[in-house]
Amino acid sequence: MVVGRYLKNIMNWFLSKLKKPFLFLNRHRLAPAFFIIFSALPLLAIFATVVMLPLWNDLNNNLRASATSDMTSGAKISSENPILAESIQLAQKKYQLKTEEAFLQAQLQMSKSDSIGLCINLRDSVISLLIRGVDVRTCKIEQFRISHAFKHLQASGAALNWLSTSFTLQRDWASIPKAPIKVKMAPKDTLEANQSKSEPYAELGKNDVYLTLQFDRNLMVHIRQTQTPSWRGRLWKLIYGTKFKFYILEDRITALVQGHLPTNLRWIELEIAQNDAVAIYRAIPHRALLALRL
Amino acid sequence: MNQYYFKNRRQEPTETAGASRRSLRPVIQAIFTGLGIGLLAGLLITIWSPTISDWGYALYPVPKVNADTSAINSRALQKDLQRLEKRLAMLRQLKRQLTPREPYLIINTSENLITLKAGDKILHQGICSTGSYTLLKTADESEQWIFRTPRGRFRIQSKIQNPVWRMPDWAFIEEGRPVPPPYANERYEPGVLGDYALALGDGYLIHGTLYQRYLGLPVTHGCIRLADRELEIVYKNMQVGSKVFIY
Repeated sequence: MVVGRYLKNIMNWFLSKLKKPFLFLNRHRLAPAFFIIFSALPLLAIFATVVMLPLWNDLNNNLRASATSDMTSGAKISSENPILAESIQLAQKKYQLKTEEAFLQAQLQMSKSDSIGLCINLRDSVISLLIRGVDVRTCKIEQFRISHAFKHLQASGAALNWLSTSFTLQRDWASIPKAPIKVKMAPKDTLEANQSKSEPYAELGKNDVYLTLQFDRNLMVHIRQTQTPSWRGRLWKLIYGTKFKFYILEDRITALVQGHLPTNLRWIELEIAQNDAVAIYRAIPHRALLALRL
Repeated sequence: MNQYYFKNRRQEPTETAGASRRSLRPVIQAIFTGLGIGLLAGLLITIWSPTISDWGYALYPVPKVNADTSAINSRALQKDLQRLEKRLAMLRQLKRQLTPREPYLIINTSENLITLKAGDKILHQGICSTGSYTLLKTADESEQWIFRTPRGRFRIQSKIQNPVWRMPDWAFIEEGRPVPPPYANERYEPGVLGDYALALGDGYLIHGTLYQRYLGLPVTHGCIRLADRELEIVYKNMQVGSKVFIY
């Protein structure tokens, strides 16, 4: 009872503090109306330009692509007519083969480049590093989640064009450094060199790993480790997440200032082992190529 | 009387303006507070826009295929499928051909591991040491070296038995010793690179080491150090021109 009253008192105190800056709303009968209108206006304007219009634009583009596509696409259709059902099955098989063709073509295109490339195959749940078309490391994807935008893209048949060429890395964020560089000043003489000699320690690969890779054509790949993060790791994750959110804000504002609509991101979230995530992040160059299979 | 009248006339309008300003103050406060809250909420919407957009995609129904399904010609489709299968077989073959059938070496610099393979078959796996990522700077910072193993595809340029190490400038600077002339005798140190060395170009070697206890750690100046047993296996299997993949 006492505790309840105590909590109630705290709540009342908090509410009174919360109400205080808004007391002006009781002093004029028009104030609440102006308050609602002027808070809703910027909110709606921002919501429309940052969320609704880009979404509308993307969905319309997908519809246009589906109208011109000769593919029956990956959408699931059922028919009670057996002949039609068979035709639909064949069309869907054709779509599957086309996606594999697009994936292979992207890999072959990547093999012409000297740099290390990334290959994400969501169908087989594997992610691999390729050098000149040779699989040098294949890692299992433990779990993944993809944006709902892909459903619309696949249904329209536009996904084939989108996937048939490799993606290029534009920017990355990570909770670990790309290269764990240690700076060492040259010793003045042999005595100082002997004093500064120490046993090499195991590499700093024990940090929790979260990374985001932004590719062209609005593709964003988030990679995180399967292992539960430490407290320090959680802090790093928070810092890394904040950095990414600031980037989103900057990107949206820049787009609006330049007079065009911000683009919607198609994202993929992957969960892989920590050592795999470290190896992938350290291996890929700044303009890495990616082949993707949905 | 007149004085009193004028005094009052002058004061009256001022008081009315003040009163109306006072009465409008809550409205002005409402406008600015509303704008502030609206903009703040807009900022949050912008930050979370990828997630909100995704809800939009989830809520919007996936369009039914608008292609006229009744017009699908089964026979034409089957022909298309056959053509596609052929093309795919060719592409798969091209992809397979990219993997060398002769022995090749894969070096993992983040975990310091080597894998000797031929095609898809693993011939040998073991530990190695790769670049330490140390940036060595001279006292006046006029010169600097970074000790990292390069990544990408390389070929074995030459194979050497009983290699002799020609110490570069950084080796002297790192030990606090004076740098000798380029071809001075003290630059040559036999026995420190093990029994064999395989050159990758640009001065990078795959070689042995005296410091076996450091194997598995990133401690080198960019070369790849192997244990004696691993070095022998690699030396015997790899030929001049064999491929080395480093990531």
